[in-house]
Amino acid sequence: MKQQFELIERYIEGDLTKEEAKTVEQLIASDPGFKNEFNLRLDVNKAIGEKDIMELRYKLSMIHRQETSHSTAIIRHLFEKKWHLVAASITILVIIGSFLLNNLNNQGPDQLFEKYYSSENAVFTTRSGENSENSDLTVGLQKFQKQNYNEAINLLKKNRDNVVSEYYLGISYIETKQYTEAKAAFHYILEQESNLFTEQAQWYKGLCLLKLDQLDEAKQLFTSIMNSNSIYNNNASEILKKIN
Amino acid sequence: MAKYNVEEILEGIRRNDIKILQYVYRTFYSYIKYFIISNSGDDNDAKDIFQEALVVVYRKLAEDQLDINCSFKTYIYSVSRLLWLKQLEKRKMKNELSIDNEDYIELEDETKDLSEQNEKYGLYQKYFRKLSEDCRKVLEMSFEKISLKHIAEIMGYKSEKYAKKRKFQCKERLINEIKNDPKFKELLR
Repeated sequence: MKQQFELIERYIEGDLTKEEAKTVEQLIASDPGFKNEFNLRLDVNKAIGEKDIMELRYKLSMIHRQETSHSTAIIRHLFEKKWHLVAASITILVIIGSFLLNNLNNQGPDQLFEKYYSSENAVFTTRSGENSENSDLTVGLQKFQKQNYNEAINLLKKNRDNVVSEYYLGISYIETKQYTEAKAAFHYILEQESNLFTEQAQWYKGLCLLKLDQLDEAKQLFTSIMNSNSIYNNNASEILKKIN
Repeated sequence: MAKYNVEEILEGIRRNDIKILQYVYRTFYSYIKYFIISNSGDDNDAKDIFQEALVVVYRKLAEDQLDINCSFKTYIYSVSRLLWLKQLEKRKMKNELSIDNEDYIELEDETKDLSEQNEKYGLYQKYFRKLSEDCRKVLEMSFEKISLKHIAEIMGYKSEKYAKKRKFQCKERLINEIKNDPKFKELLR
């Protein structure tokens, strides 16, 4: 059985010789069980690829939670890890993906430019020109994923002036309770034209301002989050109710 | 709260716009919840049905298949109603509705097919989300066509060969979890 499954997976990926592929095709045509297995695996791949649908479900669940739970003690929970870890896990793959595709894939620079250039991705494109491996950033992100925040900070610091590393640097600073530094990292992102992390950066900068007791500035920022189309607008309005 | 017309709502759903989604939730959820709870469901069923009905609407929009000639309320009620009737049937409960007060339209067969596909994919995605973070990332990256060499680098695996092995293990774990779900057999029927 396991062998059959492996054969199907390799067929889907185009990893078989012509003869092997032919065998698989014959089995699909003649064996209904094999065909079902093949269809299931194809469908599962398609389902995994539906990032938009998963994001929609995530947003809807979040709205449901927000609308049904009474917003008690929200500020106390603001620094609970799950908030930014959820946000990070959604963005991190996209970022690593585009970073790698731009930096490491063996495509010509022209094709890459055509494929990826937009004002949003300009940061990566520029960096790829300067530095083809950029391993401090890659290793720094790995450390971040493993929650080794101090090590992540040391590596990401070498890569400043880049929204990706500033973003994860900011979160790592929050994790290690260095809020002034964190605020500066998010501030940097907001100053940039790239809007890759704007919503998150605004949000975390606001949280840092709360921690630093800089409430006037915090109010201003949360008000603008509340009035925007940010995923955090509900949370921002709840915070404002609490601090006003 | 601002009010939106059908076109604005549909465009908002298409764009996954959080403000519109919030509006939709606040404006229409109570009707659906009342309908589900009055017809043998509970809070959780209401939440799931409403969510899946919106996902079905999103899928139709994504396929450019949606042409609404009624209010959004009537439409979302009709989709939720369809999904709930199917649930009742699956649970072998009487699918006579004791309370069915809102206007609804008969949905075309494509919407019925789409809702079945949605249920199937929803099940696959549920188990995908339950995988370990490690497995999820490996599978997502291979879906994004990131090479095994780079997957190994990112995940800190010692070799490309191990990345390949890991990817297969993760996929098999996912497929097994799916096959073990009682809903899976129902879906195959």
